[in-house]
Amino acid sequence: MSDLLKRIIPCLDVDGGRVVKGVNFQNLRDMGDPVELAARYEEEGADEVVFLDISASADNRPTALQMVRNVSKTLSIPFTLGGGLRTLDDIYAFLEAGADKVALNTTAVKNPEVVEQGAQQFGSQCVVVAVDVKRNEDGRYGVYTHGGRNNSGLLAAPWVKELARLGAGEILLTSMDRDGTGIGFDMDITGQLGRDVSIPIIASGGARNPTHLRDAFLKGADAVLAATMFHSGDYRIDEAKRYLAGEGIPVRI
Amino acid sequence: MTIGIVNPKSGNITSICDTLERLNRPYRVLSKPDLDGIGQILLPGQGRFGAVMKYLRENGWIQPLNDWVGADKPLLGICVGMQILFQESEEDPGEPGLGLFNGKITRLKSPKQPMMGWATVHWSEEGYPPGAAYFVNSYVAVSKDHSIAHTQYGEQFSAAVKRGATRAFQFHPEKSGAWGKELLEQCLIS
Repeated sequence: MSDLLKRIIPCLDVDGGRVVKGVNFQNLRDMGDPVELAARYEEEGADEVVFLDISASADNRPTALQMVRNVSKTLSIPFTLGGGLRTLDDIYAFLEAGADKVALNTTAVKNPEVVEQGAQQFGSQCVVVAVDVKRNEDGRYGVYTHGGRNNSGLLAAPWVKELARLGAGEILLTSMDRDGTGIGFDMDITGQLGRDVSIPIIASGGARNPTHLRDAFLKGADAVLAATMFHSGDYRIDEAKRYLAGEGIPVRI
Repeated sequence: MTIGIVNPKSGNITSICDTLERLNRPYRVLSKPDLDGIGQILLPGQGRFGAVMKYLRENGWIQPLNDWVGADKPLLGICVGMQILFQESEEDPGEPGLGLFNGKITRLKSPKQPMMGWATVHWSEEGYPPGAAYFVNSYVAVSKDHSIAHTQYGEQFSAAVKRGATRAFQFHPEKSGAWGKELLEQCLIS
């Protein structure tokens, strides 16, 4: 018996404090305003929100921090900021601005001690590691960095277990093969890690409809991340949740 | 009356401050027990058990907190702010808690750790909104001492305690959406 519910997490790509990926909402004054969009998703029943700063750099750091401040003032559900975080000071700055969690990606591969020290200093719960995977020719899953361009040489399963050992609180597992395809999550790796790893797994990459979300949960995902299926206006989060509840998936309605 | 947010500096209190702003509740962040004009003490849910207790001890909070609760003035604890009200914790053995509630905080025997996400809160006392709260924790109170709500993840634990004007939640009402807002409206002085 468990009272813990499965989470749906919309993801907003931001650049210079503006939402950049095609969001198509009705009755929204400003589609580019991350605060307004996130608030809309909270109203629809989002369990958390993830912001990915896609062109994060030292130059636009102040803009990103200001966005996080504004989101924190408005949102009353947890939110994560990812993109370009390299040091403990970076992590601290975003947590101090009001982010509940930060997501590390390339940094976790290059400097795993940032994961370990971040978890020790700020608590595992606020250190999410984004792991981008692709299926190699031998059928095993490799870990990629720099937005999927660089093969790190690491394999997904042992790397994710290592991250759990280092103190990561959660894994945002993105299938680079599926991302943007709309054909559903990669069930093999989602299921394997969802069952085998001692920390929560967020499935990401490929969701286009509520059936895809259901399948990921049935396979063992603790949460799902989706962008296009909600941004396009094709599905509302509350609709997706009602469908999932009907399918026997425990969600917060 | 002003709400006094205790700031152990072991985690950030931005979220709880932003929440009180949204709820239009006047508050002051307290590093020391300067309680003039304070009508309710809020122990926020950031940091680990030992770090928070060490901060309270070194900054002269223990006696004022005991006096506060002894006088039955309003206090609200969140997450680790609930856990330190118990006697001790497996998170930091050897570091005594405030001991306002009986029992020890133990590691949650759950499928995954930390417990992270929304979970249903089962109230055993009337007057609280039904619903789900956002939890982030690896340790819990399984003690039923003054428990007014429970939640199960792996094992059943106390999701909320109440004794006189002292209330505490294992979950984060400030991160629990509209439901959390409603609950806080009810539990914060105005």
